[in-house]
Amino acid sequence: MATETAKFPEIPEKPVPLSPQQAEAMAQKQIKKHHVAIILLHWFNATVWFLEVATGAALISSPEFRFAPEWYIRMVETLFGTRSNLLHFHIAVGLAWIFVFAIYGTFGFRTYLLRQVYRKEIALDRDDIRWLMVRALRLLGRSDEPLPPQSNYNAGQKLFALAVYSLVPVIMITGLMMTFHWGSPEWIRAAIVAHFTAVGLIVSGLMVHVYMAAVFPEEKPAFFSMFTGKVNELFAYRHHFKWWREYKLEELKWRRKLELAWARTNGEAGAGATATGDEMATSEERNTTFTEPTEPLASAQERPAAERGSWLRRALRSPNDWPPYAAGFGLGLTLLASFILMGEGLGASSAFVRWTAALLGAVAPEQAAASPFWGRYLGEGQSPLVNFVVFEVIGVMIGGFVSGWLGGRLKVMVEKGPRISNRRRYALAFTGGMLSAIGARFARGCTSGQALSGGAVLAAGSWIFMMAVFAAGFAGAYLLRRDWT
Amino acid sequence: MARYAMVIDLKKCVACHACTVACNVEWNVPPGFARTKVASTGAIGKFPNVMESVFVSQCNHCDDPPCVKPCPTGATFQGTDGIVAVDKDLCIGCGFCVEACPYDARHIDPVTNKVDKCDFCSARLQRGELPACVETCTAHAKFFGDLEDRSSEVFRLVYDRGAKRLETDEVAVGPNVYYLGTEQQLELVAARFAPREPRMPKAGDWWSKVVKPLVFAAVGATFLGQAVAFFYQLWHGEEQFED
Amino acid sequence: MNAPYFESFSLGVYLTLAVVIGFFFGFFLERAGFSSARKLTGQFYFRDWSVLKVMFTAIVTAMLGLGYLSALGWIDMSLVYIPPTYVWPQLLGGLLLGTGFIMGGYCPGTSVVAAVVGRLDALFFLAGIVAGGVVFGLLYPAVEEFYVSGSLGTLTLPEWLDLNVGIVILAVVAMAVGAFWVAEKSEGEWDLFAKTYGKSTGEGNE
Repeated sequence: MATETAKFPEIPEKPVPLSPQQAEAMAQKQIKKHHVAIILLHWFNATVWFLEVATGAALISSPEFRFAPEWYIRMVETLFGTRSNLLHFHIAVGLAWIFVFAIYGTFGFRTYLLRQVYRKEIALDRDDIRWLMVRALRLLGRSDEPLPPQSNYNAGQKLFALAVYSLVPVIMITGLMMTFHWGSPEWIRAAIVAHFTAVGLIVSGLMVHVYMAAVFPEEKPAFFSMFTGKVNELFAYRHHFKWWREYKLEELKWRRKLELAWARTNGEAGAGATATGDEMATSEERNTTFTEPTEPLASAQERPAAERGSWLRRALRSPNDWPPYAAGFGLGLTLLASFILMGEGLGASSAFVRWTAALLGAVAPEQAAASPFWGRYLGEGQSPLVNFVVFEVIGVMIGGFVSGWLGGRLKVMVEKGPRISNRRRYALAFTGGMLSAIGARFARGCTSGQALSGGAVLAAGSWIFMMAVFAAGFAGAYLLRRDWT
Repeated sequence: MARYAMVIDLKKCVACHACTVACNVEWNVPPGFARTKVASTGAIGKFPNVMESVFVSQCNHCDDPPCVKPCPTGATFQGTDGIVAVDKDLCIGCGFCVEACPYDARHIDPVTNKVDKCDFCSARLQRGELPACVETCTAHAKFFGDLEDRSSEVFRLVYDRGAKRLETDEVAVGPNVYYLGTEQQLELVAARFAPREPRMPKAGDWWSKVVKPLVFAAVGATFLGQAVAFFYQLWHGEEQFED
Repeated sequence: MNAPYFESFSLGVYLTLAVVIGFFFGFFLERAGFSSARKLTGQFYFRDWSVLKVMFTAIVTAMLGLGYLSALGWIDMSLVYIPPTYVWPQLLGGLLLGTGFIMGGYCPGTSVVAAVVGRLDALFFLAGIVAGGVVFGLLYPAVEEFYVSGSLGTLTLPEWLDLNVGIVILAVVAMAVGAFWVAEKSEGEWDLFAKTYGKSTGEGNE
């Protein structure tokens, strides 16, 4: 390494502060981190883990040993029909997993298991130990010391890998023992306990792994590299300096070789060394040159369509929101009309349940009909879709679209607070949707069906519900203030 | 719902082993193993006051079967008709249930390596037939029926003739095989073949008392740590990274 | 013939009317600006009180209309569906929905409107609703007992409080007017919690 440092002085040995231009240029450049085979293997493994843990937890049903609560076990059983289907599924997925990794281990023994896995994923060096200490202190807010440079997996990932590589064979072997009844009952008993222990330990680590990857802000590029195979150079520099350095050295070595070869063919041997320095400088310049974004000029000479014509036309074409009292009055009349004509108020959330019920009824009719929840919707003697709310929500779609279209408010965009990323917004929206659907089912209606419709007929439960919605909203608003303000 | 029970009249039994043979043939039980067994208490007392009794055992389909709870996978279960059965598909052959059974009515089948036991010939019952051992009994010493059916033979034998359950004060799990016999005979059988306490193998103790709390603690601690980190992150906001 | 009229409709008419009523529902929701998650959540940051104003105006309008019609005997309220009260699940449901509202920025109805005018986040919210419905369906056997707890039947506020309907209606109207007054003041001169959440000027009304 020392000779290489002398040969390539432009690559620092230790992380050095970057200028904003350098950082910007590095942030733009993507470098390859994972081979596509590794990405596929990772997601195969992730899927297997998800399925196996989900089914395995339901397979242990003994009240003495089970880990999952009874409702979960019952839920998974319902999903699979019978427990024996569940076990066969668990075994089939497990065998596929063992098969794939057996191939990987056999054919990639030297390349992957010895070189990649042992040296890069498991073996901890001094920097790694220090990294673990600093990382822990930083998480506790007790230190702001910079983290020691890391190779292409950081020490936390290495520790997890170590645990995984030692426990996975245990899981596989004990699984095979139970599947094929290898050994006496004593051995089988030991096997099932070992199986459970190994999985339990890995799962607790897996939670950190998933959390770090999907939630922890600093590791987001690493998460995306598991899809694209690439990370930006800045992330590599900041989080995996040693690996970045190796990568750069390799890159430069190749470049020099090429330049030497090029020079030789042109009969100018020896000119390569100085050329490289210049080339580095120019490439840096090239990377830091920006083009200024030009503001589009507003051509607001003509009065927009929204400001012409009668008051009704203006109101319909206005891109602005109506005064809340006006919109509320219109909504109130609609609600009243619904009560008068249909005998019930407006709704929204139950439409989704009915769509789901219809879908499940089409896909798995027996199981859906047997379910105490969906069975109710399927047992009405007609399709669950023949319902007021289902058709009303179709109307809502049309009405909303027409209003947006008239007001020129149709626009594909993401609504979010100024400080958060789209991805976080999507995740929050999805989670929020789930919570509100579950809440709506418990309450037997959502803001439309309970608060609005039930509120208007003065149903006691609806007012309880409404107060709870506002209470939770105001409380949650404080916790999520960074997402919306 | 039916409440199936069997009554065995030890006075009538001639210890011919026909029940064992019929059962083994019916259910393909490998040699050396049996779902229902005929045994002797052995001679007791001094000549000329010598006493011996035959004893016929099988799964008792207890009201509160101690073998169901320790089955990790739920392979052993009690049906709504009270019959304790094994779903062979789910059995991994761990033998927790074998250790738990106070009557030693279960064994691991050496061919399939799964647990095997009497299920009152459920398949035959569904076809409207009697259990194989009852049908074949040469001395007509075995009776089978529904205790909820007041007109049944077993009802009469249990409630009028006073057929007895083989239980002790320590192990009273409500066996549904009843025995008829002389008082001495029943005493002898009770002394020799009394149910034992259910056993929990070491692995099971380790699992429920050590491993399970450990895994719960590990997962719980990880979860808690993450929740703290998450709220810390929410509280302090995300650091801006140029990426 | 007295309202409600649903019993006299053929299925085709019934479902067509459902679509028409839904049309106006969606239209007014969109016109109120409820296709914007920022506007909706602005309520909870005391910045934009539209949610409360629209909801209470609508409730008061419909309530007064129903009260008036039933007082005149033009509508048979026994045929109008009144959601039954289940105290505990509705309390929990409200808390969950409120949490979902502030996390996701929508409630189920408004997310539909937001999705059709092109809000991508609303699509995720909708996907969440479907997923949540499935989750609830699978969990249902386990929560069934809780789901029916605190059942009080179809209980209305006048019955519960043992008051005359007219008085309750008046009280609700008074409460709504009070809430509107607080809302106007809060959007105007008060600017509640400006220190915690930042100045409200213009942000939520965009």
